[in-house]
Amino acid sequence: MNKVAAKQFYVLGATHHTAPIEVREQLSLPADEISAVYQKVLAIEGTEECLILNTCNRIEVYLTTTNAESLKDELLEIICGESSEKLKSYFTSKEGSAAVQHLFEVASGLDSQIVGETEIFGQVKAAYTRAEKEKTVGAVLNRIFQRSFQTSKWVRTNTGIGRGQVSIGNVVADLSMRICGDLSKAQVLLIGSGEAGQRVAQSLISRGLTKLSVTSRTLEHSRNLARTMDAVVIDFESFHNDLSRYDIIIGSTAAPNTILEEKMISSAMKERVTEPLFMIDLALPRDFPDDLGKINNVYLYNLDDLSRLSNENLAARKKEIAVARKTINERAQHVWDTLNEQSNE
Amino acid sequence: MDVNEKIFLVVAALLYGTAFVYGLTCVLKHRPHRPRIFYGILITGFILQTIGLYIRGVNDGALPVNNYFEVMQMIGWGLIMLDFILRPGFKLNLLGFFVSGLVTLICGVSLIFPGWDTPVAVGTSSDPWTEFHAILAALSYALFAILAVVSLMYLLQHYSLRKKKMGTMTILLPSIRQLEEIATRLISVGVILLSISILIGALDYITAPAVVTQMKMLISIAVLLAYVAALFLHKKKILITARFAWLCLILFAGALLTLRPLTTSHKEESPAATIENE
Repeated sequence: MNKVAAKQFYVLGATHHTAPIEVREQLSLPADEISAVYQKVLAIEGTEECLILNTCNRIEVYLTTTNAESLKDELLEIICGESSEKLKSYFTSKEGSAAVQHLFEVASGLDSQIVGETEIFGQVKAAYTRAEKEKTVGAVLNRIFQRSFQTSKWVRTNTGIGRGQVSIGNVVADLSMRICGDLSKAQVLLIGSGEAGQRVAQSLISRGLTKLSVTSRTLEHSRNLARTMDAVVIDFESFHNDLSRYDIIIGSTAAPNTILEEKMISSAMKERVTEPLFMIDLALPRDFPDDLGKINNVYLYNLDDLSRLSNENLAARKKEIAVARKTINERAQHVWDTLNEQSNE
Repeated sequence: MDVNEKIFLVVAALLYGTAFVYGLTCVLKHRPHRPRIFYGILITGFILQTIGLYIRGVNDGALPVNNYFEVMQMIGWGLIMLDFILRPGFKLNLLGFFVSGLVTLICGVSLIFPGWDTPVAVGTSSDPWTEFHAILAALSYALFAILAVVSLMYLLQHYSLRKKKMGTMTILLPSIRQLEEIATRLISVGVILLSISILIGALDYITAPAVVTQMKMLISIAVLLAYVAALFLHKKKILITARFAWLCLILFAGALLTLRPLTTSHKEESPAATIENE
């Protein structure tokens, strides 16, 4: 085997595994400095191609080099500046097929904080596009990164790595669609101005919700929420008179006691007998009493229920890591072997 | 009976079963199924079953709905056809999976009991109105079968939401609201089709009482009245949600059981039998 090829692919980086958020904040590269960093990296002796992946959870430099041993210190100085000695311990490096495997796992979401998240794929693609623009990718990085995109797509299609939602907002959005179907036709009432409620409402809006009403004991809070979410303000004193028009009711108040009673919901359901009602209680103490969930066609979920679903989904994703990793390992080795064969020709 | 035509029906049932097993494997392994593979198998089975039923019809000189076996096959055929029509129109995920299971059961069971495939007098139901009545009846039963499948899907979704579970299948199932709407439409159309079928059958009973027995009329009307009552209670919002879904399942099971007496209940001295005996 040609030993030059065996040293050629290299990655150096600090990620959420090795560096806390305060350190990652220091390492984060401003967008307008990335071009300059690319030029400095390419200027390192022996470096032929490079790509910088800079996200909120990692700063990684992928490159091809004939000079891996002395590369690390120079790279650290470029990324960290004067703090390179202080921040050195947060960085790890990989070479050869291990570096290829690492990239494939990153692109597939296996290395993310929330396993299976899809945002990283777009970030890797954007980093690749930027490197193409900077003209810092050549035949080797082009090959490896294109294969990483294919592998990522395979992993997401053929394993359960992205199965189920893990954020509370997305869990609620999934449940809403299982109950109400098309969210663009659903009427939603958000009671209270709690942050959890706002996040959940935002998740529903991202899935197509257009008819949101908000109500809060403090009118100013309702108005602020309505402005940011393009919602209608409902008077807090009288919102319970019109509950039958809502398909989803979210409770997110700081009230010490429940704010809705069983007879209010029962009465509302008489006017919408065949239409299901989804009630989400994000408050502690709870806004909705337990017996609401026993009413016909009412589905009641509280924080515990949502957290449990989120954790179950996360656990299911983690179970898929071993399955995905096996395929990634095979593909990474194949790509590395092919690159070596080609460099021998 | 020409053996060759039965081979088409056997292979079709096996293909339906294969499609169901493939779908089930994907669901249990939490893997997405490949629609091309699944529907490729289903469509191939449908084509073969169509060929088999066509050959049988040509051999019988009549529409193949003349004994219990043939009626079950026609209901299975109608069920697959309705799946092809309804699934894209209503965007009903997983309908094909459940339908393939039910069709495998209906067609498979009909093939297991050779006694169900009683000899048919050639030209027995050559009257076009009688055949129209038969096809409408088979289609209405197929609709009630789809209604049963939709009801099953509703119950799976409903109970998993009640128990606060989130599985691969329940995420893929249509929403509670959509399933409720579709069930309402299906029972309405099924009742209309069966009513027209029975009306035509009733005219036959009046004009040719030698052929149609009182028992057959009574059973048919009883099935229709059961579904009419269910529809009425549903429209009046007395029977809704899970209770309505359970009733649709029970009614279909009952309707399937009535098929045997319906298809075997005929006068001994029918004109067709007389012609054959001569």
